[in-house]
Amino acid sequence: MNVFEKKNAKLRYRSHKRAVMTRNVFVYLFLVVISFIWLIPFVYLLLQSFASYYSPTSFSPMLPGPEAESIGAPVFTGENYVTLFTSEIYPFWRWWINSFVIALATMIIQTVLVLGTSYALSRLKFKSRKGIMKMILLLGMFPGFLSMIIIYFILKLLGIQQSIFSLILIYVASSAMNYYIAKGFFDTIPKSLDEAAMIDGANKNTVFFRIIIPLSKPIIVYTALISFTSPWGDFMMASYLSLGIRDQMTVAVGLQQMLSLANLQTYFPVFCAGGVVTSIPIMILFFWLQKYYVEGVTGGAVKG
Amino acid sequence: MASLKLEHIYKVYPNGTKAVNDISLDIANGEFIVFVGPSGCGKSTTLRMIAGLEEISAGELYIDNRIVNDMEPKDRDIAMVFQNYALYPHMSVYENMAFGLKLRHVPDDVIHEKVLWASEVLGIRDYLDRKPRNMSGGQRQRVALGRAILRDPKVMLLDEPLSNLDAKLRTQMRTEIAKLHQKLKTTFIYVTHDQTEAMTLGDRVVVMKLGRIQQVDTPKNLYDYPSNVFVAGFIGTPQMNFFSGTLLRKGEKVSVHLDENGQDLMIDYNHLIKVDPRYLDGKHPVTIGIRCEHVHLTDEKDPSAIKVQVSHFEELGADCLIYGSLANDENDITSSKGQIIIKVNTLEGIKGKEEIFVRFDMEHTYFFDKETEDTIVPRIPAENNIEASVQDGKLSFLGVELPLPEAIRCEDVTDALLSIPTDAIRLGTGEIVAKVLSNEHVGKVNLVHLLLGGRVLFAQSDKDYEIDSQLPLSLDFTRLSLMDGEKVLISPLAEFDSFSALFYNYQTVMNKKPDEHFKEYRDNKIKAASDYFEAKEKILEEDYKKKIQDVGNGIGLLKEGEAEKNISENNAKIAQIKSDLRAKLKQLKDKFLLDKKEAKRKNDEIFLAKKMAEEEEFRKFKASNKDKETLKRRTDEYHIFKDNFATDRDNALTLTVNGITMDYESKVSTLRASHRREIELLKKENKEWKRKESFSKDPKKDLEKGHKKELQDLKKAKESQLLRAGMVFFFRFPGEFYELTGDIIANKLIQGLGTRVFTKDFLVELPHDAYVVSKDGRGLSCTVEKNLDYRDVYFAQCSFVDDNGEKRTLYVKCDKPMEVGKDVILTFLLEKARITETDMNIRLY
Repeated sequence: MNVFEKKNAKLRYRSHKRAVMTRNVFVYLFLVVISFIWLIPFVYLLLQSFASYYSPTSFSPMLPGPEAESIGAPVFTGENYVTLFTSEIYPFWRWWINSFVIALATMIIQTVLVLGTSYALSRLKFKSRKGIMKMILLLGMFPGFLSMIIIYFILKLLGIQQSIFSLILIYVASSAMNYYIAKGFFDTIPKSLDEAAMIDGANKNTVFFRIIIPLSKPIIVYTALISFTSPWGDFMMASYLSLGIRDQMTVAVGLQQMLSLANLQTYFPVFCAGGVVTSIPIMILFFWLQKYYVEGVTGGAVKG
Repeated sequence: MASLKLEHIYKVYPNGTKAVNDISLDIANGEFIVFVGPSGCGKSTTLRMIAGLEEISAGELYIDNRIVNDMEPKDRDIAMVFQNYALYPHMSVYENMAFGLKLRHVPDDVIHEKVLWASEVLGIRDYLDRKPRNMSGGQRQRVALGRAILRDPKVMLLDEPLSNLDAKLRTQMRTEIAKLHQKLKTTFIYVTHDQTEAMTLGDRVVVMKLGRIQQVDTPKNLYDYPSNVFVAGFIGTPQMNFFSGTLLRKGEKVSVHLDENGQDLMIDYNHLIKVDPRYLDGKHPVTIGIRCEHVHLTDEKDPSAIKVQVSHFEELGADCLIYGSLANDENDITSSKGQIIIKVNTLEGIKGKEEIFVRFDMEHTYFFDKETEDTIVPRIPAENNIEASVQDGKLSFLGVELPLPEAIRCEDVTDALLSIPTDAIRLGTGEIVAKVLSNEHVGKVNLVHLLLGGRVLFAQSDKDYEIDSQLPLSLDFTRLSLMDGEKVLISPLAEFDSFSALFYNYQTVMNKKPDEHFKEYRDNKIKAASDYFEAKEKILEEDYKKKIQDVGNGIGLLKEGEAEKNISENNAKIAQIKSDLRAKLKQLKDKFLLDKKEAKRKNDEIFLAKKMAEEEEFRKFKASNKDKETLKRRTDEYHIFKDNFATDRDNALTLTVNGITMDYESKVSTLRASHRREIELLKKENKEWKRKESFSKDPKKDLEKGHKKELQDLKKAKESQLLRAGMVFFFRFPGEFYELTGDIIANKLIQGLGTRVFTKDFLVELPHDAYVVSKDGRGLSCTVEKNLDYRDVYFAQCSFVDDNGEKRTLYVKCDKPMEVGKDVILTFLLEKARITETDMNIRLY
């Protein structure tokens, strides 16, 4: 009897371990499949950007050599990248600069505006504060393109509908709408810090710049990233403001030009190369700034 | 160091709730005041209003006799310690403490000295370069205290500073705060909900409830003389026992009837001598309070023994509490009727009993009115109640016979009740002579106990009188009242006449009723302000001229190249410091990496040895042991060891490495912070040199710029002052009579109006000596109806018609009778008035 129990205990221990392992195997398998699905488009893009020409049947180009020649499959080449930057028809470099300038300007202005708005909504108690917050939220629920035509007319009235850089104005104009997350963050910074600083002799500006901002690195980084990526990838507004003029296009609009039916054969690999180059700044930004994401900053401010 | 004065302070929220309700308080220089009360009683709000973090709805706050209502927190020269410390997490302890002084542009060396001093006082000298997150709660609170004391504030405000600490640390910090106060001798205001803190720390304790002050007194007096049921229950643990009952005087004894068990207890009348006799009639319901330490065990034979049904015991170590009930038929454990808590030293001989007998220490019982909950044994009784009779216009009481003055002459009566307010007895002069029994000091008032006709009388005075001396005294007839049962024979003259008045501004009044007099007044005010600023401007100009002259003579200018030399020297120093820092950091890092490697090596070694030992042991066991069962068990153990081996090893390593990393990081931050401080000092010096240099290059231009700015500032100040001077306000009284309000009153009313919930309607209460007969025909016209003759003073009863067409009366104090039937025009001395906002019932002046 005693022996039996012990044996059972041992079996139970082993079988529990086995169950955990099986479960893990399934979970990991599932995750691998998901990530595979998620990654495939990018891998495909990357591989195609090195292909010598577009072939709908091949996933990956082959290494150059007699074997590839014999079946006439596309081979690895760096030529697409050269074409991308030297093409006369498609001034990619110009688009890239356009996009970058617009996105950077938007990022800077928008970050300042968003932080200012959020701080005000979080800290200052003024009349109709709640009303304004609700109204902004409500406005944000309408898709932006609803106002596309009106925006065009407004730009025309201002006489700047010809310039792609009026996009900055469009993007920045709605920036205060993104106050919600930053406000949530500011709300978590204890008010007594503001009050302590005020008693120490600070005015509202000093409190904001010397106390709140140094504590808000994660949210500043987040806001900056978000306000960089959305104009960087925006297609809709950019496409109708560029008016089909090649020099006025942003990356998203320009690359789309390459995919016209007549060009598809020749320019698809170049398009893919363009896609890869476009994703580089975002990646750099993300890797550079991500360490601030995780930094827990309010630790030690108050009780803990 | 400063004194504080709170005058009728209110905090009213937009929804109409009064968080703080009419708080008036004088806080002396260097006093330690504690606000205590249950949560939501407005104590923190009051503190925050003193700090300036919360707006004051009505009333004035004075710091050192200056109104600070509209002052920013930073200009009030206060310091505050918050419940959650509120340290700036991104700054080191040093920077945290220096922040306030830095913002006030105090020179760096002074800051450094002060930070060192404060950290020395609080014992945090070794942590100056740490970040708050690397400190414990007690240390953080010390930093917060340090930040506050280092500025040398006039007032220190502490908002529940200890409630985030654990019990042991709290006691320790409490002692430290007390010591700190002794050392600094600054005015401390401390908010807490913990009565132990309040009683141990405070010079005086303010007990609050629902936004109102219940009692302000020393801890001892709060305990001994609670002014109402709330204070009695709040101060002292466990809570005071309360019973309901009635009092009945029987000669020199008073019998206390307990409603709970119907028992009668006896107490000497001497203890209740200050009680209004109306309470001693055996009918008026009172609340009887006794603290658990004044209930003693006794046995059945004791005539004053009270039977207690025991419900349960609590042993606290040093002493024990017995919970029980007086009421015999009480079986419901949730009922609080007749509940009693008794404190005893030991439970020996009582434990297990269901009934015990106790005796009340009657000298330590408290009595409160059942309805108002106020004490009926006040320290300063409001009035003396004596039996009196009137015959032929002569009032006789306690063997004294006084002719009644004309105004209060009344019919003959015997056995009436005469009330003489304690402040209506004028000591020192008069025909009545009484013997002084004793002087009792209550706050600032001296309560004189007098013996007259075999009865004790109380009188308020501001000085002491010799005990056993014969003291002449007289009565203020206007304050007396005489009652025969329910019938009022003599009633006191009301202290105030009340008017309803509306608040108006200058423009409206001038539109309604243009008046040269008001215009002239306003013009004069504006002119005075403008003159003041013109004089100031002149001084500024002269100053500027003198400075230009000085510069022309070469005073305060730098020599050629002096600045450059100093700057380059400083730069070299900075570079040196930086390279120093780099080298030191590199050294630290190398050592850190090496340590880490070493730790890993050691860890691996230890675990390898462990593994080998285990394997070796298992092999031996297997070889020597033939019992299958034990062997199996041992095999299992071995497998478990092997399974967990890797994780165990990694965990052990992480633990060690974490320790090393933390040590490294704190060293690095210390090093960085100290170097940064040095560099900042040098950089600041450089800046100063550069400024001096640029000044020396073209001193006149610089001076001109500064002068222009000063002039501009002055101009701005002048404009706002003139605007203020132009604002003149009025009260409109019945009969279209407008009275100018003085600046002080006007400011208070404007402040009140700013709260929005206020209306423009005010109740103005004027004392009888605040009337002046007008000479220029401006004022409230009324008719003299009759004169009230109080022998030495006269009051003219006048009537006027108010806006609703109703006839109202007012009394004018005068030294000779006025002509009856004559029309007089009166103006008011508003400074003596009491002004109340009627809608919210907020006292403004």
